[in-house]
Order: sequence, then structure tokens, then C-alpha cells
Amino acid sequence: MLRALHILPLVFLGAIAVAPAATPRVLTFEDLRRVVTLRAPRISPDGKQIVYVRSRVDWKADRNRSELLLVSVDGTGGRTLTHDRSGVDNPQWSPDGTRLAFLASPEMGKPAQLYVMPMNGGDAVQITTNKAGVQNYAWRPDGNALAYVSDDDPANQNALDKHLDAVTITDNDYLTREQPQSAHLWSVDAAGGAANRLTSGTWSVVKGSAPVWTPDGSIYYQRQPDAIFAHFVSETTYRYDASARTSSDVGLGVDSEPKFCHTRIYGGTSPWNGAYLLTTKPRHGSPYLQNDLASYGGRDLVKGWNSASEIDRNVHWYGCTKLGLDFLVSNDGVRSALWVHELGVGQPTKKMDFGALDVAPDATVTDDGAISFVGLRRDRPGEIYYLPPNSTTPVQITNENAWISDFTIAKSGSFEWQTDMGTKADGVLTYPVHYVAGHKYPLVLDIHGGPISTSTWDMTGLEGLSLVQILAAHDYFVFRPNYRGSDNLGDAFLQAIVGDVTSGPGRDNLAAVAALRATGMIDESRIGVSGWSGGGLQTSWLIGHANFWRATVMGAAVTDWYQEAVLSDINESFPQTLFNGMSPFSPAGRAAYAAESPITFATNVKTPTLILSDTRDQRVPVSQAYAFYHALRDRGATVTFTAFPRYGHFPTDPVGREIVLRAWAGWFERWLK
Amino acid sequence: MLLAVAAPPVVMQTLKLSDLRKTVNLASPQITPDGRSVALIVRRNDYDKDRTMADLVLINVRTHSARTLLHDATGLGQIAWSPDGSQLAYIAQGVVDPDDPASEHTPQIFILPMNGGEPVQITHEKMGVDGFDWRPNGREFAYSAHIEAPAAKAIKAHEDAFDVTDDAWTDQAAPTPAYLYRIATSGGNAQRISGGWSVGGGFTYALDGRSIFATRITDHRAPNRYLSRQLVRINIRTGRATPLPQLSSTQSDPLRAISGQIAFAFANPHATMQTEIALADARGMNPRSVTTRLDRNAGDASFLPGGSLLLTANDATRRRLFRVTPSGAVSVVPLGAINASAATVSRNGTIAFTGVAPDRPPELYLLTPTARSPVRLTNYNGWIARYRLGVTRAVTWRTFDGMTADGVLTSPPGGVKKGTRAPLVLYIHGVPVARTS
Repeated sequence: MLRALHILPLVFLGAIAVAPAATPRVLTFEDLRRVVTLRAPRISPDGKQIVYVRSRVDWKADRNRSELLLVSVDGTGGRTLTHDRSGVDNPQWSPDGTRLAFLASPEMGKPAQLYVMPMNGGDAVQITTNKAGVQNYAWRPDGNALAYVSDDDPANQNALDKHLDAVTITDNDYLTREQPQSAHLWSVDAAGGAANRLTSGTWSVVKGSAPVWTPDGSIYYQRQPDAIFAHFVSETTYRYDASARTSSDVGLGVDSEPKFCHTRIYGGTSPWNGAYLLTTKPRHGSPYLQNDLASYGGRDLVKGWNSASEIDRNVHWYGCTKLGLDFLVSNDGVRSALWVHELGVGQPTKKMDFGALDVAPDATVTDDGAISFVGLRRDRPGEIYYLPPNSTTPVQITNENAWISDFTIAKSGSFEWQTDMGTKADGVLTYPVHYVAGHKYPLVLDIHGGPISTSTWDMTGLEGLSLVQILAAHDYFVFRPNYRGSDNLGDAFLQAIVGDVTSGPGRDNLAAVAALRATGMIDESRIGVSGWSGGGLQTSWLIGHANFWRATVMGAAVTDWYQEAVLSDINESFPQTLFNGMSPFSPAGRAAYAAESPITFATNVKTPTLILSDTRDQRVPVSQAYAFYHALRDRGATVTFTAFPRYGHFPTDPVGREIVLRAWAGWFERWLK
Repeated sequence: MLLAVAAPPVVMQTLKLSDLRKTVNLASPQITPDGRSVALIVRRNDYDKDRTMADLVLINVRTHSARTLLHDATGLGQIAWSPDGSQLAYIAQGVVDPDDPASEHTPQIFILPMNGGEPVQITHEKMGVDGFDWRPNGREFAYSAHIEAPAAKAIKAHEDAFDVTDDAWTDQAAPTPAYLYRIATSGGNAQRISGGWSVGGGFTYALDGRSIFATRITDHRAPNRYLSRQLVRINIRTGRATPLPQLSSTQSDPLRAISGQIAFAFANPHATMQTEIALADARGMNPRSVTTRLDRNAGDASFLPGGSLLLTANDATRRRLFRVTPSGAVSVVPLGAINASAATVSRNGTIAFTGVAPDRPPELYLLTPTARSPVRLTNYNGWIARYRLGVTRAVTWRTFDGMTADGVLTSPPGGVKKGTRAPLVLYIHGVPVARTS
């Protein structure tokens, strides 16, 4: 008894000392509101500092608040540069590093304008006042002016003011309310003042594309035939000659991605000793499919190296250095990889190995080869990293999401299966948080959209972070398959979707589930399937071709390729690319589109289904959700259709995003528990 | 000869689109119970502001003089005389918060005293008033109004997802049900008298004022809700709703006669696209169709003295007024060349109606019980007499499967010279359950 009395205080003390050993919590939706999103890291010209954009959720105001932050490349001295500004984005250092330009909205809800902030003290000055706002911009190499892209004002404004506002439709999307206006190039002094129109015409600069201002006074930009969004697929590079005030096609043909590398000057005599241009080139003529990195040397843009010869991956980001090093980011398996190519030395392109750290396609590279990038891990949201020149060890310079280490994070890994093409596909398998070997757990498929995209295993975005972690916290297996058409295994795997648009990936996904069932880890009576956009297309096809599913969530799903081909903002061009050029407006085309449309098989559906869509989705018209809903409900199937009264392909406001994901996870809780 | 020299022939113009901006539209005629005046809504378009302005106008049927009661009243809708004709109630935009003139504006009931004085706003419904009826003693209104979304606070915080059923693809929120309320004509607090189901059409007090006949939708979000409507009689004191006998899958829009008899619309059980009219007793019981012999898609109905009904209906290429007796006997009301749009009947059987002639946009017409043809009371669209108009005539043809169809052929102004041909444009009406007159 006495002994017991003596021991008691010790036990107490011990309990206090080991208190941190309490079981870490699992993530909830409320916790995920704390996630800080970092993007657009930009290294200063002197290589000593990095500016980046930090975005945090303001739940009460239902908006994301963004600001610019500055930090030394060693991670010290971080401070906020902007305060109480709306829509801050796209910072760019002046060539001499004395000023920082960025985009921001003068008032919430107004179009973005261009600001220049002196880096030796002083407030940022708004230097543009274009009514339609500024989409993108570039510094002139001397730092005294900037070129920017802005939509024209309507030529018939007087008539519009009198409500004479009829619109002539061609390839517009079904939500069109006004005639789209062409975007054109303007310039303005870095100190502000009157803007100068540089280009005009019925053609358009590709909306949002970045112009490049070279030392010889040229401005390279992306041009499309008119202002219709869908026509960006024919974009090509033009050169604006400032002295002649004329533009000319530089002759590259269709080159996709409205971003291309700044030219760099070398000494020497070969074509590669002058400026060279990097751009992405669609391998099969369409930017929707695989894009390779192509280089063009000298003033005459002599065709040079093409990444297709070495890495066979869809290029998402690239940059170059004075040293002749080209850096590329692409998906690779279930990871996002950084590659480096050394110009002209004949060495094969190498993949950088940073261990558990992956590189997002959001980076900047300096002339001497330093890189700053958003780094991705499986156990925390993205942070900003810095890779010194010639180093292979990135340094983490932000720690904005350290709070997440207080939580138990579900583990993710790669899972491979055999497809009927004779090759393997892979995907990301996330384990239940409380996984115990030998037990069986329900499985949810979360199928990515695109479909030219990839689910990677890092904890980013809606898939990897919010939805997957919430489902895993409720002890589901979550599998994100990279079916054919994904851009993680090379051109042949990607290209296999063409002409086999829905059913090819569908067979892959069915095979993936069969392989997962064979592991013995899955409770076969509780398998759910879900996806958004192209993932919704797959989901709605899968429930029409198998009935073992216990529950379905299909968001913004393409259920009818014919509707997609006439109503979407990527009408005709996107569906026709995937249908191998076949138009839906012929008996054979109509039949082919129907054969690949899930609505054709809706009569087979028996799975309880939740349909989700924004009410004004320009990409996948909400009419397809209505059609699928009626097809199921009118046959007595269990179906709920929840709509979100918003414009766009997925809600961008924090509340909207969360109510989508709550509905999504809630449906599986209802039917799989 | 002298005359011919002094007055050169007038060359009349043909119509241009811009000329049509002068068209004045008339709506909702309401004759006073004593038949001496007609209130109606007069709408003109302001093309500079791209909006329609609505005036509430009173026409003296003896002198034909017009007096504007309300100028440019925003949201002017239903109008109705009080049972004694001393007040005119109407719906227009009014404040939701009576203590804050700057608060949100939605449709509300107003009363305009006809012995002088400004209109008084009676209701302050957040979502606005859809329709109303005077209690027979003139001291109370019954009105319908949609309720606010149950999760209004969450919706305001952008938690605004909604489940879709048979909504239109343009809907941005879930529809809410409409309930019935009562409020004294002197104002004060409204009292809800229905709930749990939605009002889905017209309603009217019973003659004793103690109950209300109303159109009910059991589930306002149910499939094909408007094709499945019931009539109920609501006891105002208890709130209990008793269904009336059903003649078909949908019946709606009860109307009360001075005698207390009830008329209502119902879908033809054999051809559900056609609307029929039934008569029932003052309790809404023993309903029977009175339009079997008429065999036309019945439109607006009004009671005539003696219990007959005045109905508007399309008939070949005309829109006519029909008199239908309680036994179903049908006679055509003589309107000459005029096509009737909306009609109203006084206690002595005088009919006022808005109508369109082949050569004239809408005017208000009056037909007394003894008259053989209507008299035009207004001259809002007399300007059109200065124009040469195309001449219209009915054309019939045999359909490929043996039916007779008709249509309206309009010839170019001045006709077509013999031996020449004019191009033809087909202008096909929509819906398709409609007609061109």
C-alpha cells in the first residue's frame, strides 16, 4: 500500500513527460482549411532572394487571400511584400532586380492590372488601367517598359450600351453571353503613363499567354486566328518587330503551351552560339496530346534538339540557363520529375533524383543554373525549395504547412497492373489510415480527369490532399489509376486513348480493380468509383459496364460526347482529336460518338449514384449531368443530382470546393460504411 | 375636280420595325362590379432605357376617357377590385422591410382607395407575393408567396449546393414551396393558412369566406409536378385541406361565382394537352365538365350573371369568347373581326376585353349585354391607321393523313399584281399547343 502511494506521483510525472505520445489525429475538412498554397517562386537576378505567392483560405469571406513574400535563398529573412491586395499573382523581377512587377486586382472582382514595386522601398504603383485587365506580361530587357496582353474593348460599345447585344455564335461555348474580344499586345513605361497598342486585328494573342521581349527589340508571342477560346489549338509563335511595328510568323507551325523560354546569348560561331528559343511542340499536331520540348537556334531559328528523342514524356514546364542547361518537368510513373538536358554536348537527358521529393511544374531557373520550385512530398502540402547551381540537394526554404505533422497521414504508393495492351499501367494506392495487414477494407476509385493527365503520389491538389486523405482517414483504400491516355508512361501509352476514347481507359480501370481485388486487401462488397470531368466520364462508363460497384460519385462528367462536341468551350477540337479526327456530324461519326458515350449504357446502371456539377460549367456542360440524371431516375435507379450554383469546371471558392468534397465523401460514407 | 387638285393622293407608308416601337400593349382589364369603369395595365416600351413602363389606367366606359392612376409602376402585375368596387388592389414592387425604404424590393400587395389617397402597401413578404384574392366581405386578402430557402443563412455563406430533380438546367437554386397566407386589408401581420405542400396555381375564397379553394402540388419538386395538381378546400380556422373530387390527373385554378358555385380547369382525361372547365357546387363537390361540346382548349374563364361561363379559346384562326351554360350549351360572343385576349365581366354582364383586330394592335373593347357588337373604348394604337398593312386571311388544307388544318396567310401590302409572284416565308408558331390568329 505504501509502495503504491510512493509510486503514484512518479506515474503522474511520467504521464506529463510522455504527453506528446498521444495518438495523432486524422485530418478533417476543417483541418484542411489550414493548408497554405505556395506558387510562382521567382529567383531575383542576383540569385540571392526568392519571391513567391502565398495563398490562404479566408473561410468567412469564402475567398483565397494571396500575397507576395520575399525570402533569402537560404530560407532566412522571410517577409510579406504585399498587404490587403486582391488577386496577387505572377511576380516577375525587373532585369536589374531593382523592381518587382506583379498582377493584382485594384478592387475585388475587378480585372487584374499590372503593378511595379520598387525593391528599395515604396508602395507598388499601378501602371495599367485597361478596362479588360492584364492577362500576362514581360519586362523589356532594359527594364524601362513592359509588354502586356489585354483583351480589346468591344468595338460596338455604343450599341451594347443600348442593349443591341446579339451575339453571332461560331465555336463559342453554350454559356456565351457576349462576343469574345481579341487579346492584343500593349506596352507601357515601367513608371506608368499612357499605354501603347502594339498589335491589332481580328486575330488574337492567345489569352493568358506570356510574351517574351528579347534584347533585339522583338516581342515573341502566341497567336490564334480569332478570339474564340477553342481555337487556341492552332496557336503559333509570332514575332513583333518593334521598329517596323509589324508581326510575322516565325515559321514553327503549331507550337503549344503559351509559355516559352527566354532567349539567351552565347559567344562563338555556330547557330547555337546565338539566341535560341524553346517551345513545346505537339507531337501529333494537337496540343491536347503529347507535347515535346523543341529548341530552335539563332536568329533563323534552326531546328535543333527535341526532347522526344530522349525522354518521351509530356513536358509541363521547362527553363534554360546561360550554361546551356535545359530543365524540364514532366509526369513520370506516379511522380513529377525534373529532367536536365545539356545543350550540344551529346549527353543523354538525366532525371534528377531528390529522394522522396518531387518537383512541381512551377519553377524558375537562373542563368547560372539555380532552381527554385514548389516541392512535393507524400506527407505534406507543397513548400518552396531552392536548388543551388551544380547541386543535387534542394533546400527547403518555407515551412508554411508544418502544422500537418500533428496529423496521421495516410500512406501512398505505386500499384501496377497489366492492361490488355500488353503493357503495365500504374496508379497511386493510398492506404487506410488505420490499416492493419490481413484485414479487408472498402475501396474507392478516384479517377483523374484530363484525360491527358496523371495522378501522382504527392499530397497536392484536390485529389492527393483533400479527398484522398479524408477518405483514407475513414479507412478506405483509395486508388487513383493512370489509365491509357495518362501522360506518365510515354507517347504510346498516351496515344492509345485516341480512337478508343472511353472504353479503352474503361477496360484499363476494370483491370486495375480486378488486380486490386486479387490482393486480398479489398472488401469486395464495398467498392466505390468516382471522378471529376474525364474521371466522371470514366466513372459513368464503368457503372454502365459492371455492377459490382456499391456507390458512385460522378462530377462534371462527360456523359455524351455529342453534347461535348457542340456545347463545350473546347467543342469540336477536343472530341475530334480523341476520335482520331472523326466529326460527330455524319452517320458514322454519330454512331462512334454514341458508342463511346456513357449515356448510351445508362440503362445498365444499378449502382447508387451521386451526380455533381457546377450549374455553369463551360467545359463540361451541365446538360450532360441532367441527361444522365433523368436516364437513371426515370428508370427508378437510386440517384441524387447535387448542383453547385457557380461558373466554371470546379468551384474555386473555398466553401464551394469543400461542399463538393463533403458531398463526395458523404456519399461513400452513406453507401460503403 | 377642284377637290382632286387640292388634295393630292396620300401615299401610305408600310411598316418598318422602328414603327412598331409605338405599339402600346394592354393587359389585365378589370371591370368594376357596377360596370362603369375598367382598370387595366398599359405598357409602353422605352427604347432608350430598354425597358417597359407600366401605367395603371382607369377607363370610363361612358365617356371613354382615361385617367392614369399609377405612373410607371415597377412590377405591376395582378389587379383586382374590392367586392364593393371602392378600392383597387394590385401587385407591384414594394419594400420587404416596412421600416427601411432602402430595403430589398419584391412584389407586394397594395391597395389604392378610389375616393382619394395614395396607395398603401399591405404585405412585406421576403420572397414576394405571387397572387391574391379578396375575401368576399372585402376585409381580408388571401395570398400566396414562396418561402425563403430553409438554409438561407448557409446559402448566404456560399454553402449553396442544391439537389436537382426536374429543374431547368438554368436553375441556380432549389425551388421553394409557396404557401397561402391571410392578411387584413388594413395591414398588420400575415397569418399562414397552408403548409407542407405548395400552392401550384390559382385560389379563391369560398362565398362564406371561411374556406379557400386552392390548387395544390403535394411535392413542389416531384416529377412532372405541374401535370399532377389537385384542388383542395382549406378550412381557414383549422388549416385542414380537404381534396375535392378529381376529374383527371390535374385540376387547378378555381373561380367563384356570385352564387358561390365553383368553376375550375382540368386536363382532358383523354387528351391531356387540352384544358376543360368544370362546374361544381359551392362546396366544390359534384363537379362536371361543361366544355365537352365546346371541344376547344379553354383559356381564361369568368362567370356571367345566371351562372354561365365566359371562356376564351382558340377556334380555327381566331381567338374567340364563348358563352357556355351550366348544361354545356355553347354560343359564340359576337366580336366582329376582333380576337379577344383577356376578358372581364361586371355584375350586370357587361364584358370588357382587350382584343386585337387584323389591322390594329390591342385596344380595350366593351360589349354590353344587349349590344350586338363591341365598342372600342381606347385609341392607344390608332397610329397604325396611317400605314398600309398586309392583308391576312385564313387558309385551310388537307393534311397527308386526312385532317383539315388551317393557317393565316398575310399578303404584301397592296396585294400581288396579277401575273406576278411574291416570295413566301413560313412563320411557324411554337409550343406547339398554340395557334396563330
